[in-house]
Amino acid sequence: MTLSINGAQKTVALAPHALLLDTLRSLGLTGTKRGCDMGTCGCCAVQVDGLPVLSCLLLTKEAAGKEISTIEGLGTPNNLAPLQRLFWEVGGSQCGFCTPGFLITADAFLRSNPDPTDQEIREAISGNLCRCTGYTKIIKAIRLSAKERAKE
Amino acid sequence: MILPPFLLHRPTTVDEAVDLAALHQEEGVSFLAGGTDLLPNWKNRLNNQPHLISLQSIPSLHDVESGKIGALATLHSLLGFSPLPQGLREAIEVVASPLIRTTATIGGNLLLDTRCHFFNQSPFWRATVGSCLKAEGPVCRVVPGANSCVATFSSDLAPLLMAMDATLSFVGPQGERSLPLRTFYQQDGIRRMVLKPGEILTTISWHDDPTLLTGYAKLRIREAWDFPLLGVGCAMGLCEGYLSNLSLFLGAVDSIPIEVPTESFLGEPLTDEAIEVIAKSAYARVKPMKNVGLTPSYRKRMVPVFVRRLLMRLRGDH
Amino acid sequence: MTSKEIVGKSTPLVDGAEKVTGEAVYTDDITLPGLLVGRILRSPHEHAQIESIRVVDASNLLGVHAVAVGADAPIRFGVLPMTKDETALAVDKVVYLGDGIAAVAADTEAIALEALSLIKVKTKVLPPVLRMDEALKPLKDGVEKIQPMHSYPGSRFKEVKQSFGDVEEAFRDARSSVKGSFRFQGVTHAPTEPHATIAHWSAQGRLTVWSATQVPHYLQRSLAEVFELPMHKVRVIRPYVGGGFGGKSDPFPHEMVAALLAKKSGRPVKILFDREELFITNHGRHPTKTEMALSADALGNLTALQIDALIDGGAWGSFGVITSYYNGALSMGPYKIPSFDYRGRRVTTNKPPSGAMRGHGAVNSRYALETLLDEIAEDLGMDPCAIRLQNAWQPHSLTPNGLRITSCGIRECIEVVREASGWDERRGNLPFGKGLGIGCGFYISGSALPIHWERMPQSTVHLKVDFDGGVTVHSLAAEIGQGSDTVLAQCVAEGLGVGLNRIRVYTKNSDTSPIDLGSYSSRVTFMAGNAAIRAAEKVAQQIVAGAARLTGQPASGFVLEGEEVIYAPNPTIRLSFVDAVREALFDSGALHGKGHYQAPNLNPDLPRVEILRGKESEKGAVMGGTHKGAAAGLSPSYSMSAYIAEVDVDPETGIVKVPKVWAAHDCGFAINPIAVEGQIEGCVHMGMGQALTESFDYNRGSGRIENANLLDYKIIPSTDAPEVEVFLVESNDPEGPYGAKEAGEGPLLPILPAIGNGIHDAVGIRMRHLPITPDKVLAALDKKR
Ligand SMILES: Cc1cc2nc3c(=O)[nH]c(=O)nc-3n(C[C@H](O)[C@H](O)[C@H](O)COP(=O)(O)OP(=O)(O)OC[C@H]3O[C@@H](n4cnc5c(N)ncnc54)[C@H](O)[C@@H]3O)c2cc1C
Ligand code: SF4
Ligand code: FES
Ligand code: FES
Repeated sequence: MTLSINGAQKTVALAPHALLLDTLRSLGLTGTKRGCDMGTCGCCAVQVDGLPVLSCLLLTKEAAGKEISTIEGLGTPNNLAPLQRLFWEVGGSQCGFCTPGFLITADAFLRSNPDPTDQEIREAISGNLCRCTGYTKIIKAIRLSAKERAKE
Repeated sequence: MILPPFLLHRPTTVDEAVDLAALHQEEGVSFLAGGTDLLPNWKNRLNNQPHLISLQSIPSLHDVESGKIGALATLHSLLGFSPLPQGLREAIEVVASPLIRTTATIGGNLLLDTRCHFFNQSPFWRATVGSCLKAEGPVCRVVPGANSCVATFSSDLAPLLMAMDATLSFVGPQGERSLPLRTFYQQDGIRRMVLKPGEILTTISWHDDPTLLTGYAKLRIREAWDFPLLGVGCAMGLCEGYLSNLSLFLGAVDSIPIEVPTESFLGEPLTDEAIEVIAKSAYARVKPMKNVGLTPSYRKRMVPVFVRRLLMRLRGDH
Repeated sequence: MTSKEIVGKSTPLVDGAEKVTGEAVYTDDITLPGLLVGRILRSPHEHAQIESIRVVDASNLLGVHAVAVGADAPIRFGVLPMTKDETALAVDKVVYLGDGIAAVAADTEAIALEALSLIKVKTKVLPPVLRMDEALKPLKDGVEKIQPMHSYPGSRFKEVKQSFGDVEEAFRDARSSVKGSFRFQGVTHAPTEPHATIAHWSAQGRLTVWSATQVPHYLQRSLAEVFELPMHKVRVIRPYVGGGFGGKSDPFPHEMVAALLAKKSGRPVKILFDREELFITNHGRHPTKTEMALSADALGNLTALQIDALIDGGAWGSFGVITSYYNGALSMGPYKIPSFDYRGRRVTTNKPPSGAMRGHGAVNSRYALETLLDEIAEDLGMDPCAIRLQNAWQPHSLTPNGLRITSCGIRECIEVVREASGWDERRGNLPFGKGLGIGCGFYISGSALPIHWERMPQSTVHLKVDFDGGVTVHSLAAEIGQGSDTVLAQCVAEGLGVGLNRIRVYTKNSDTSPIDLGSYSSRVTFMAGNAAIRAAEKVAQQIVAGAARLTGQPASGFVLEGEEVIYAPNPTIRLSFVDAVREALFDSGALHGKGHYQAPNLNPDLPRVEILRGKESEKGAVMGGTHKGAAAGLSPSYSMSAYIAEVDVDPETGIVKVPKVWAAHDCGFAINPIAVEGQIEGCVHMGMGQALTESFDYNRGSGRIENANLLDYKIIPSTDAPEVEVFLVESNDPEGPYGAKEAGEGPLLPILPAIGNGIHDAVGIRMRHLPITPDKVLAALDKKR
């Protein structure tokens, strides 16, 4: 079966019970992380048709025919998305394990709410767990990204 | 945490789904909506079936119109829908987390399995205590003498939609039927509802009444992820200060939502005294079990507080 | 060098681009040809004798390549050399529910799980010891000692006593004295990355282990011991690590198991924990009961402190000997308290092992001390900030238990948060339900005495500069997200006067990087930072020699700055960094420099070798003082902190919210301010969890954790996290790298008491049991009413 991941078509052979998280990681897209496998950490978040979802609770087959975007599609080290650059610059990423999930969530969120309040940011990322940063600098990175987008 | 193997079916019409379910009924079937309740349970080897019928690809189940919602509508999509009764919005906004609400469905929420510290555990964990009634074991671990399960029903939407007197529509092997949500749940932590085998929940509907005041209040430890430790759903009609309608349901304090009787207050003004009486009667009706977070006595004690606060808020107090 | 170009400037992490793009490779992201999946069969009993293990059915299963049991690797290991009580898998008996019994390596996870289900274990269940009070009593008839190898009787693991000054007299003469019984539930690190390990044996019989670890060197040591190899036959690779907080600072059984399975199968084996296994194997903060008393004279000068701490070690030793001391020793700052009496007892129980967690050993006593200090202030009618200021140590003091305090910015910390929070106007004047509370902290910048008492450096850094102009830094200091790679890069860049983009940091591979003891006890910035500075000095000398040769000027006049080598007496004489490097190495090859760090001898009366060889029992005299356990708590430098928390208590529901925290931390000098802030913010978050929501709950008095998942173990989400305003206080430590000291653990201490004291200010209750859940708040309010 064929999946559309980061704009490219990938053909994969799958067991019916394969979860998207496992499929992505087995394709070498290891930026999507496994933190709990139970919907409680957000490390495995990816976008499906632009919405952030938990890939540990999504059967791969349910994502067929939809556009899947992972952290690898957001930007590369030589061509960072503004949100990635800001997470890096302001310290929104420490150990980095939660970071792909936060970026995926924040990217989708800013598309739907380009000018959020801090409280709205807090709510938007409340399905993502970070044990390192205390969220302060993550919120700041998202806020700054919104401001930058507004200026453009 | 890998899933156990199963066969996945992806029908595109309700009829096809019903047929598939009937076909595999003997072997064992489950329906899949968002999967945010079912998949964690299956990973924990709870309720597993050899056949899983996904309802995702059935377009009609996603339809949303005013007062009538397809069972597969995601909680996230409903937040973008207007008009949405205020109480329903409040209830949806406090379900799980934003990342779960993008896939979690309204139907799945109403059909959510009950929860218990002895049940929602890994197979390893359960093996260390021995199984309980709900997992095909011999006894209830919470109430050792009990011959039925007292697991907690933790849906946030159910108490609110019951207060709104929503109606459920199903399609099953015997055809279509509709049922008031208020009669849907059944006092037992295992069966817990009158869903017939192979039956699909298709829509949730209610009488759209813009004058109806609705609200939801939730007790939880954290403002994200946490299931309710108490949920209060309320629908209220106020006509020049007099109650034309009042229904109140309590969630997460029993195996089904609990109704608080309010008929005697209809036609009366909603005074502080009346609120106090209602809050007290709510208190008297619940007996939370020690099978989810915080102590049962605390959760019970919060019942009148949350009821009073919600009623006052709907009345227009600040 | 006069002005600093690189250190002191907020610097995005040098490995940050990899993290924000998902390119960073964590252990579970690695695959190898032929990689097998390893899984561990865990004990369903708290305490049981293993009578037999039947593995043939599992071995015969198609797709299974190895099955291992305890007897395959029976050598004991453990992070502390004096309490090695762990084995790869249980030998003879299991000591906690979850203890590993057997393990398999298979082609897939599904096969591995099936194989585990085919292993038949016959056990004789032994009576468990689960409660601390029970563990203190002599063993009942027929009850077997959990860890027979430990010398203390019964289920006691360690008992320490320390006494300074006349405590009794002080309490007798006190104008005010308060006491309290405090209870702390266990909490755990819960890094987002679960434990993961891959092991592989090469054809030459060398073992390579990739692991999510904070302590590559201790892992290397333990693997060498367990597999009876010389240490150099073991290579440890530390990929990116998704958080540690102490949770990855022990060499672990699963790391031994992976190596064992790899050895038996002849294939690489990966073990990845599921979330439940992280909870089950724990090593988190000890559940604690603390009895504490504090006294002061009429002027508010503290006169005596008495602590009796009882801590639950669970089944294994881990860092427990140190924890037993830290609960007392680290209470001797930041306040001057002339007399001190401490008893610390750690017991062994049939529960998941406790170990070191951020703020190791100091957090619970700190909560008790800061709470009692508030009560004394209240009793004496003093302001809580004022009493803290009055009793704070001055720089260059020696505590009664021999801790040498050098830099000391505690006063500034208190003053800055007092001012910023509007304390003087607001405290006591807020409406019922709203309050402000203060708490302070004091923590080590690395332990002066290393875990292994030997004459080896605690940190070494190697530099290589070649004619490509790049600077390579090698060290085994473990980057776990705290930003240590960046600190090393900054220190080297500063020392060589070059930009950060020249620096490449390699800290992942034990073959190529010189030993550093690892990321625990808040030691890396201080120790590896100093080593890096020294290494840079060595290389700078060589570069300057090249410049001197090329320009004909004396070497003593050169400085390295802004990518140039400048002759200071006549700055028109200058060379580019690269030209100087090329000149310096053309006849010798790439420049090398190394620096190392060894904590100073903190007791100048004793020759250094003597101290390090000395055993506390034999010699009676080690660093610091001459009392037993004098080395515990000794550090080349101490961080200080003061926080004020704004707290909202709903008196009807008992729900506590913390909207705002003002946090001041004296880190000596912030080499990377953004990273120091990040540590403080993260500490506030984690400490608030322990204060309000996080707790290891055992099911109905058993040794079975009820909430071994991230839904029921309640870490604070973004919606509940406070806004944190950080103030960096820089006291410029005389021995720290560029004046820096620790910022990774100490900042956790103050938040708990700041919240507790804030609750008191809000609604007038003293909370002595953590976590402060709403039901406890209501119970306390009921009692008060
Ligand atoms: C971390 C976490 C936190 C959570 N917190 C909350 C919370 O705070 N409040 C809350 O209410 N819930 C919570 N949930 C539970 C769950 O996410 C929601 O209740 C969600 O709405 C369930 O919907 P779903 O579509 O994912 O259901 P599914 O998992 O797909 O289905 C649930 C059950 O209903 C059956 N089913 C679903 N749809 C149909 C249908 N149309 N016809 C017949 N049978 C059907 C399924 O077979 C299954 O048995 C949480 C879950 C997780 C993982
Ligand atoms: S209430 Fe009793 S029967 Fe039901 S899940 Fe819990 S332990 Fe099992
Ligand atoms: S791994 Fe999916 S939510 Fe944690
Ligand atoms: S940066 Fe480590 S968990 Fe978020």
